[in-house]
Amino acid sequence: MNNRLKVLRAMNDWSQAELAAQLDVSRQAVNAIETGKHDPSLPLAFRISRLFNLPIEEIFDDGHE
Amino acid sequence: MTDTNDIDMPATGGFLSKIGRVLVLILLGIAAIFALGFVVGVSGAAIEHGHLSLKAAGLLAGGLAACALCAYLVYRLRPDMRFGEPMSPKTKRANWALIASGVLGGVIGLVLALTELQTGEGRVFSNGPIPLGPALFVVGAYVLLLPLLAYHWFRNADEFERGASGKGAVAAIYAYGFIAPTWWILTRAGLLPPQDPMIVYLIVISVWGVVWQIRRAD
Repeated sequence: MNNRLKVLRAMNDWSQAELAAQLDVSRQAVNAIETGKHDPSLPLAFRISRLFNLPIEEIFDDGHE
Repeated sequence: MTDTNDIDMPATGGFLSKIGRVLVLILLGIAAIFALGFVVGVSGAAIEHGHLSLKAAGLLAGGLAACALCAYLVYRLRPDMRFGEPMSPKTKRANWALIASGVLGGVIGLVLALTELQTGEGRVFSNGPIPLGPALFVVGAYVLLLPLLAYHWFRNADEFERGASGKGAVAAIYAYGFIAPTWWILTRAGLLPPQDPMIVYLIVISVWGVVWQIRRAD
């Protein structure tokens, strides 16, 4: 699944570790999501959505029109 | 404000380089354990005989140099760890559980090594008899403390870390499913000695660790 996490993080001038601490996950987890190695669970996707104040579908894209 | 260099992680190697780094780290760890065992053995013999010969001193120095070399190489090849970086309390607790597990494993290994030296077996993974005291200590630590640490880690690790560990565990189960019956059949055919549970355990636990670390590596 594609996502804009890296772009949104850069827009906020956060490091992976800073974003990870706010999401209560490890830095490796943030890196894995950004690189598409790991698709977050719904609870984590909602936490990301709330943190950036954006709907989930504006952060994650499953490729369907 | 974040340093702009810190926004992106450094470029990471490919899948093969990750496997290579993990395997080299494991081999270095095993080499360090053997070197440490060698140092303990030479020291024990020197203490038993009451003096340190020139040859023993040379061997001791060589063993210590090997330990230092392994430690230095592990340090150079270590995964990217950024001390002082922000970390959530749960992640800190999960990391401490892992560190405590490593320390517990080290203590168990040291007790076993010293016991084997006393009993004259001289091998950490020998199948010979050991005294009741160290046996109860090792089993107690393994059966009582390790599950508590594992539970603590599982409660605090995030979904990605748990997933990486889970994939390692699945690979380990598959490894066991292949190794145990294959060895059993080959033993019955007279091609292998009887199955050694500790060898099977070490292979299975190594597969788990390697796959886990490859999955969680950047």
